[in-house]
Amino acid sequence: MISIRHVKKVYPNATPLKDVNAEVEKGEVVSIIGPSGTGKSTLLRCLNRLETPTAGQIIVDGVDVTAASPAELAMVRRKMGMVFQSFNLFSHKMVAENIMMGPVDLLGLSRQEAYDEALRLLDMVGLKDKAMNYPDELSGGQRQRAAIARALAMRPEIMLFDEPTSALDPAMVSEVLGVIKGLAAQGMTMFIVTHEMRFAKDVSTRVFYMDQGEIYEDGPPSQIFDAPRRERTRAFIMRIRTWEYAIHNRHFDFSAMTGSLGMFCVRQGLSARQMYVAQLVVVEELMMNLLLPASEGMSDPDIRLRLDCSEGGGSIRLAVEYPSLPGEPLASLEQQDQDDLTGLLLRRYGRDMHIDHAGRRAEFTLQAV
Amino acid sequence: MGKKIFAAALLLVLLAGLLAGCGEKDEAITSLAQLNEPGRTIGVAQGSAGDVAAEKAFPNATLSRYTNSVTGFLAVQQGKLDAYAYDEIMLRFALANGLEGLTVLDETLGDVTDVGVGISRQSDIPDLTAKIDAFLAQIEADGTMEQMKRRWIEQADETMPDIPLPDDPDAVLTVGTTGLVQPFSYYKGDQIWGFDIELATRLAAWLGMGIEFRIYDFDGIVPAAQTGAIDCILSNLNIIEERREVIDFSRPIYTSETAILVRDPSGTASGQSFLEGLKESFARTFVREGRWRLIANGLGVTVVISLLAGIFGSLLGFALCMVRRGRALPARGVAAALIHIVQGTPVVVLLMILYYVIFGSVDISAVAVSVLGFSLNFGVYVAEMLRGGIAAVDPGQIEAAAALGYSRTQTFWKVTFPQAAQHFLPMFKGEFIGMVKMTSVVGYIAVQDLTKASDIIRSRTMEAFFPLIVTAVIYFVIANLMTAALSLVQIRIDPKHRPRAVKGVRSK
Repeated sequence: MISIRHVKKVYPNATPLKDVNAEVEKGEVVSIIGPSGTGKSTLLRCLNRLETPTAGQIIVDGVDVTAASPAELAMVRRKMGMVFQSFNLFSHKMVAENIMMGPVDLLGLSRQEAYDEALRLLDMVGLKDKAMNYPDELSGGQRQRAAIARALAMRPEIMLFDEPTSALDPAMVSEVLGVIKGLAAQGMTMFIVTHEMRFAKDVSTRVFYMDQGEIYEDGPPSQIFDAPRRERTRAFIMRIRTWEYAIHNRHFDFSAMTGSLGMFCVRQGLSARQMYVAQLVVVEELMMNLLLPASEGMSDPDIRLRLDCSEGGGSIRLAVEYPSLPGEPLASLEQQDQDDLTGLLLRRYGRDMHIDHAGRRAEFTLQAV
Repeated sequence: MGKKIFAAALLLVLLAGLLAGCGEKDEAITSLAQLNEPGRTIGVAQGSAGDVAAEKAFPNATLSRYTNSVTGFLAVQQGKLDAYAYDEIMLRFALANGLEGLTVLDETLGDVTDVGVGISRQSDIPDLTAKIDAFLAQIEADGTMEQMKRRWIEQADETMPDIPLPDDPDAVLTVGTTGLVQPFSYYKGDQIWGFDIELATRLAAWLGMGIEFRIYDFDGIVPAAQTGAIDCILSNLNIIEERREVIDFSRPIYTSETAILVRDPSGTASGQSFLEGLKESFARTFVREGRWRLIANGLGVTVVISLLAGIFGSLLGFALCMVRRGRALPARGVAAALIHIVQGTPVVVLLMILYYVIFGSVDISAVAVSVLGFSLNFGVYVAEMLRGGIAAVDPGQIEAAAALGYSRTQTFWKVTFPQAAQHFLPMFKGEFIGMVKMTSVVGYIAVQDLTKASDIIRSRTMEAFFPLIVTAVIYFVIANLMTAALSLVQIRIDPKHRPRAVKGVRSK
């Protein structure tokens, strides 16, 4: 149904797509995953030519999208519903009118038919009572469901989802994913660019792992998520996730840093205990009692924190660099006989401690006991 | 605290300045010598014989040049000027017309200047100067001229004789005049009247032509003849060497002497109460001679120019904006250049360029040129505002429309424009009202709009305030009516003000 042949996209200062090839059949649900900046969204936007590939061909139902006339292109686009990260509902139209516009203007439905269809779709996505609201009166999750209804009203054969939940509050992600799962169950052909790994694993029949401008590994979700065959897929799936924070000012925003660290811990699924230890050891003790006092009088201290966390939350490795600080601010940690609270706490929660005084960096594994 | 002291000090300085100014101005002027001192300010009509004579007579004083002498008279009345140097005959008439608290010094400046007919070198009428000279020679010989001078100037008789003109003339004599100088060229009711008008009509009859008068501001009249917009000038025009460089003159018709208008030391304020004064002002401005017709016609012209320029300007602005968004690069460059040039040109200058240069030798009505000029001026602002409004539309929504299968044109009309209009209309409203008020400069190219009508009335009533305030009120009212109309549109296109119902469907 869709052939992607040697698709390449070059911008003046970046090449998001180097050489992409794939054949997708009717009814397949393809999740496109991979690190940021590897061309996932670009590939999706090439499918309905919101971006024009620099080279290569994309054939949808026998029509070469890359060479289509404006009229042909409009026909192909009608077959492909698209859902955007930022919803892109028409802000001057009520929800029902948003859904009716395409069918009335482009498919020639009567307003009554289009309206009845809009209400049916709104009912399906659980928004029937929002038909007469304007988009800015809805929550993010509601807007995205309305946007899905708008795309479905064109009776598409293919649906393209471009990071449909990335702009949503975590609490609203599931309501949108639920609607997409429902569509998958009805046999709709779909492409979904997503960062929701669990969702991708559940919903798709096929996964593209994209890396460095190409489809690096293509397989069923069982392969990609449980037994990736290639090196970089494995690194991504099992990947060590990292939190980094750089401090250049003695009066930096403590709350922002603890907040960011807390958010990271929640995202990684760390336990409350692990999070407490990370925040206590990193912020309270290491920063407040050792590194910041050592930067006394400096206008531009340079302190970098980094937390590596493996999938599943097994081990947390903390690295700290302080290239500009004078003296040996962490020396006290190595003296077992010292009985200051900081030393005690760090020795208690930090294992495999490694302090490189000359290199001005230290590393240890955090352990929540 | 510091601020209060500063404010009090500022107030003191201002008061002191006011008092000092008053003290100096209170001294009565009774001789010419008193005026030739540093610190004296003397008003003159720009480029007139009075201008030349005063410059010679008062080298130590400061000259202030006016394009409308009535404004200058009123400035003397209010103490802004020490004196106004002007044609002796016209000063006499101004005083007779009720210019209060002022008097003319017995001494004149001595210079006697000839007054003649100014003649365009671009006129279509062959040998016009020779013909006019022949005509003048003839009416001087048969005594008509003498009799006209006696009636208009000496007896202040305002009877305009009925001079038959050809019914269906082959050609029309176009005469420029100011309509601001009694007894030569002024308005009686809404009719142009006076010695020069009678003379011009006699000239046209003698030439076997029809006649058309065009009313210019004083400083626009010589350029109009220079470019050929009019055939000749009959408006108490002094024959001055500088003017000979650009236009021709007939033989002298009469002579003019420059006299000096000063505050009357024995003058007393009139005993009228404020209310009576207001009633009298109202009667003089509107009722006497049916002058309200001048205001009504002027208002009509202002409204017509504003509305037409509003409509054509919007269409032009829309077109310019579309061209700039389009794909034709050369057209885009032309549109951008036009926008930059017009934006960088004061609208008065733009009007004068259109009227005197581009359409200088084309017979086109000044109202049409005004509509064109303001359409251009308004159009470029509309184009820029619209571009801003379009840029403010979320590009994501435009992309969403494309993804649904809308063409570029459909997307523009269905998504971009309705939203751009919401951003654009509040600015449009302000700019449109600004344009309505700006049309008050069309007097420069001989259009009699509301402002010009009020100038003409002021030149007859010799009143500073009432006609000005009436004009201000009328502008205020029309501007607000038009704002209200646009506000209605603005509310209509705001989706949040529409009823929450989908048009054309029955909901179940």
